[in-house]
Amino acid sequence: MNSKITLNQLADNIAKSTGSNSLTAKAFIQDLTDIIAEALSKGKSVTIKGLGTFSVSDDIDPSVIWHPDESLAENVNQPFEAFEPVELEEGVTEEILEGGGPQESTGPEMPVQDLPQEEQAVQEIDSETTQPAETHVIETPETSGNETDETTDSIMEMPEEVPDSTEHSEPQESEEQYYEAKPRRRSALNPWMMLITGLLAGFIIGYFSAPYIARLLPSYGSVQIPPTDPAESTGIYPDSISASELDDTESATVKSDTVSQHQATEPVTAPPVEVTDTVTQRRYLTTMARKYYGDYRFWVYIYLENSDIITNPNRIKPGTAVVIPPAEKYGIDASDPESVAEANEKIRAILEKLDK
Amino acid sequence: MNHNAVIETLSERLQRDKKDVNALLEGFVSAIQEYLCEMDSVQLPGFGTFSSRKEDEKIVTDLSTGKKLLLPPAITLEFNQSAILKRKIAD
Repeated sequence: MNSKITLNQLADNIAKSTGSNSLTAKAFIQDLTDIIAEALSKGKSVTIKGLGTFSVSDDIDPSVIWHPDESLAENVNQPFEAFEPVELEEGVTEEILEGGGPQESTGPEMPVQDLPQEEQAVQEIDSETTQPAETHVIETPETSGNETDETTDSIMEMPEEVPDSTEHSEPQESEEQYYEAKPRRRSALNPWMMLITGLLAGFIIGYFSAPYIARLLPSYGSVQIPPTDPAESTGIYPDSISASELDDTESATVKSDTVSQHQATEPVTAPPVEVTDTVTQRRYLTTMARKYYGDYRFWVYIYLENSDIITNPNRIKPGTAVVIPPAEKYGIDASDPESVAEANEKIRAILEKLDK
Repeated sequence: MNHNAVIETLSERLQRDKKDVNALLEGFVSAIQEYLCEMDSVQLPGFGTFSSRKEDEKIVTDLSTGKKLLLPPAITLEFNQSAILKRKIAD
C-alpha cells in the first residue's frame, strides 16, 4: 500500500513470474525504457499492449503523456466497477448525504486501513445502535418475529427518506458519501426509537404479520441489507434470556455472552448451529467482530477461520458468507488486554504477509 | 512504434528469442498492473514513475441543465517522467 517499488523489486517480481533470473529482468527493463525513451525523443509514440501509449505533448516544454491501456484502467478500478454515476434528486445536498463518519469515504474494500477511524466512528454510534437493539430484545420474547419486522421496516424506509430532504441546495463540489444507505440508517436512529416503542405497543400486529413478512423477505434480494439468517437469530435468542437478568450491562460483555451462551445451550437445542454471517458493502469483518466479540480487532480470527475462502481481507466480495468461530476457540475476550494484544499481533503478521 | 516493433527491437538488443521477450514484456506489464492495483507506485530509474491515485466520490453539477450527478470513486493512473527522460526528449 502506497509504497514505492524500486527497479530491483520489479525485476524480482518479473523474474519470479517468468521463470528467468532477476538480472535478465533488470536488463530487460532498462532496455525497454531505453527503447521507449529513444522513440519518444524522435517524436514517435510507443504503444505497449496491456500498458498503454506513451507520447510526447507538443507544448513548448515537451513532456511525456501516458494513456493507460483500457484493460489496465479497468483492472485497477475493479473495486468500484459496481458503481455508476447517480443523478441526484432536487434538493439533495451534501450535508444530507454526509451524515456519516469518515470511514465510508475510503470505500468498502479496505476495512483494515480504516481501522482507527472506523473504531472512533463505531464507538460513537455504538451507544446508539446497540442500546435500542438490546432493550428491544429484552422486552419482547418473540425475538425472531420482530427481527424480521426490523429488517423490512428499514427496507421500506430507505427509499422514502431520500426525497424528504430539506429544500436548500448549493452547487458545491466536495467529497461526498457515496454509500448513502448507511448514513441514512444512522441518522434515522431517533425515529427508530419511536418506531421500536410503536412496535412494542403494537406487538400483536407484529406477531401476526411476522410469518407473512418472512415470506416477503427474499424478494428484496436486490436491496443490500445484511440478511438475518436463522443462525444469527438463534444466537440472539439465549441473549434475550440472559440480558433480561443482566438488564443494563455493558454492550460489549453482553455481546460476547451471546456466543458463549449460544454454545452452552447447543447440546440442549439438538443440532449444533454454525454461526455464519455475510459480508456486504457496508458490513465488514470488523463489523462482525464488533458484534460477536465486542472488539473490532478480533476480525482477524474470523479471517483465519475463513482463510480458505478469503485470501485478502481487504478485498472480500460482497455476499461472501463467512463462518463466525465461537469465542472460546481462539480465546477471544474483549475485556482482556492480552487477548486484544494477541489479535493485534496476528493482524500485523497478516498485513506483513500481504505486503510482500 | 507499436507493440510488435518494440518486441523486435528488444529481441535484437537482448539477443534473445522474440518469444522470451514477449513473455518478459507480459510479465513486466502484469507486475506493474499488480502494483498499481495495490496503490503502490513503480519507479523506473531514468524513465519515470507509475502511480495510482484514488479520487473520492463527488457531486458534479451540469451547468446547462442544473442536474446534479454523484460520481463514484475512481482510481486514476499517472505517469511522472523523470528528469533524465525529460532532458532526452527536449534534445
